[in-house]
Amino acid sequence: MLRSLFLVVWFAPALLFSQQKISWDDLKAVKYDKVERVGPMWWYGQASFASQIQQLNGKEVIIQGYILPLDETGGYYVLSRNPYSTCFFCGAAGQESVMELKLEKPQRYSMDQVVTFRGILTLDNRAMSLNYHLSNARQVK
Amino acid sequence: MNLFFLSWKNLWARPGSTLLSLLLLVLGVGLISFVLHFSEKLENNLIRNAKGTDLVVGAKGSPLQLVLSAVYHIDNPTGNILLADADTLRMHPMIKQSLPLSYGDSYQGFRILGTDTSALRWYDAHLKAGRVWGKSLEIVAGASVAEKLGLEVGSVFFSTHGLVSGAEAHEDAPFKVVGVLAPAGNVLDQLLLTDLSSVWEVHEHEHPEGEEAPHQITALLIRCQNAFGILAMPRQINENTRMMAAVPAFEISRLMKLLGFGAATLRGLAWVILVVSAISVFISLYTSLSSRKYEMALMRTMGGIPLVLFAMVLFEGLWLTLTGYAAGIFAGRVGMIFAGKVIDKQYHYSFTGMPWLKAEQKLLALVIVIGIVAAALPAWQAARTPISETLADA
Repeated sequence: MLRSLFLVVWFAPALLFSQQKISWDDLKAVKYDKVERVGPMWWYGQASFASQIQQLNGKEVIIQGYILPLDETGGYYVLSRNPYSTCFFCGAAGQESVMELKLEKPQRYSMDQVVTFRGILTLDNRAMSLNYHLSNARQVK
Repeated sequence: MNLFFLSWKNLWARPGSTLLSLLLLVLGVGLISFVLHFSEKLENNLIRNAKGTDLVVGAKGSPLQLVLSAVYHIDNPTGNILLADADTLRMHPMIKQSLPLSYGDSYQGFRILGTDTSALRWYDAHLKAGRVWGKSLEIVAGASVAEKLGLEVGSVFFSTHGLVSGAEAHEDAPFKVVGVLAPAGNVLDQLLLTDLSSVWEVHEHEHPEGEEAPHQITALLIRCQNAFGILAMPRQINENTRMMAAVPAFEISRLMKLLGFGAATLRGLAWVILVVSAISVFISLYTSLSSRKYEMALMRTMGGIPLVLFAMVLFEGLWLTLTGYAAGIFAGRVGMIFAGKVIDKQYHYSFTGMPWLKAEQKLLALVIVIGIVAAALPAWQAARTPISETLADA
């Protein structure tokens, strides 16, 4: 009895303030069914997330990826599952393989640098928007 | 005669080895200072001019070339795209703002850029004199072009085909300057702006009579609504249209990575030279000791305590490295002035203004440490000069 109480007390903080280390595979189950047509040659699918991904919404997570700089001075970066040459932008990878970073403190990273971030994951299913956002992102050494 | 002055005199009593040590220090410090300033200026220019341009769309070819030509105006265009294609693209809902560009002609080596008047807002530029262009063949000159070519409101000139000066001139279509810009601190300073239609008008005679060629432009600069646009639009454009999209931030990041290797190599070389110079300072001081032992013993008999001899040799080391530092920083700036002249002539970018960088201040601290470390052992030796034995030998 005492031992199990000890265990609960010991692990409670870890459960309450869980920072889950996730991989890009955990974020893979996204469907883009509802296709929206905008303009003569442009269309977008609206994202619907699998339930295990929905559970991550608003949680603090730790994830590793490649940096894609959108504005180096402004500290505006995207974290990608794949390096530049095979990323969403150029290769065949999907929208669920990138994540917009909102850095807690502006910092400089260079293209294709592999960095692990900790931050709050937010899901976004609006068309014409990135599906994943990591806010309060800070680098984990 | 105080100790500082004595050390200085001592150094120049053996000019050969002193000069050699100085030369190595100047080389090392100068190279580091030059590389620091050069990469900082380069990076500043690259980043400042790409700011606010999320995408560049142009003819298919090399993305880097497209960025270098449409954003920095230092490379040749990849080709032309149809105005109709660009106009369709401009209706894309992901676009916040876009700017059509048409270039390929120049005057005295400065590029003439056909665009629309929203370019001034895009680049955050303001008129210093005159007005913006209203019809074709009217020019608004960037600040540094106007200054270098002496253009003012009312000036008239003929453009030349191609981007070098001295090429064939379009003598039937004179350009008239109607406005001059205040310095904008970006690429606009070195451009001659005009209406898109000017470029079509100048080149109209190149087509056979009666045949109406479809209007073309060279590139389209795009500002996106959000990150999704920057990532998704290039793929759509590259797959679905005859045009190519490039992301300046990606191309510049890759370019700087490549240039970074060059800078790192030079810096590595500079550090090796600095280490050699430290050894040279040490050897120069150490070998001088044996020939100076009599005068040092004499200094002891005249009442100089060992600390005085220690300080004297230490000051010699510090004099050497500090002079070397000052001369090296100076040499680095002279190098930058020359490099800046070449870059100004070639690319019209200004590489001026050289503050005392933080890294250079750190280098000063390091150079002082080098001086102390290299002089410590010789100074210790000097302080232990035995009086009686040395003088008995004399």
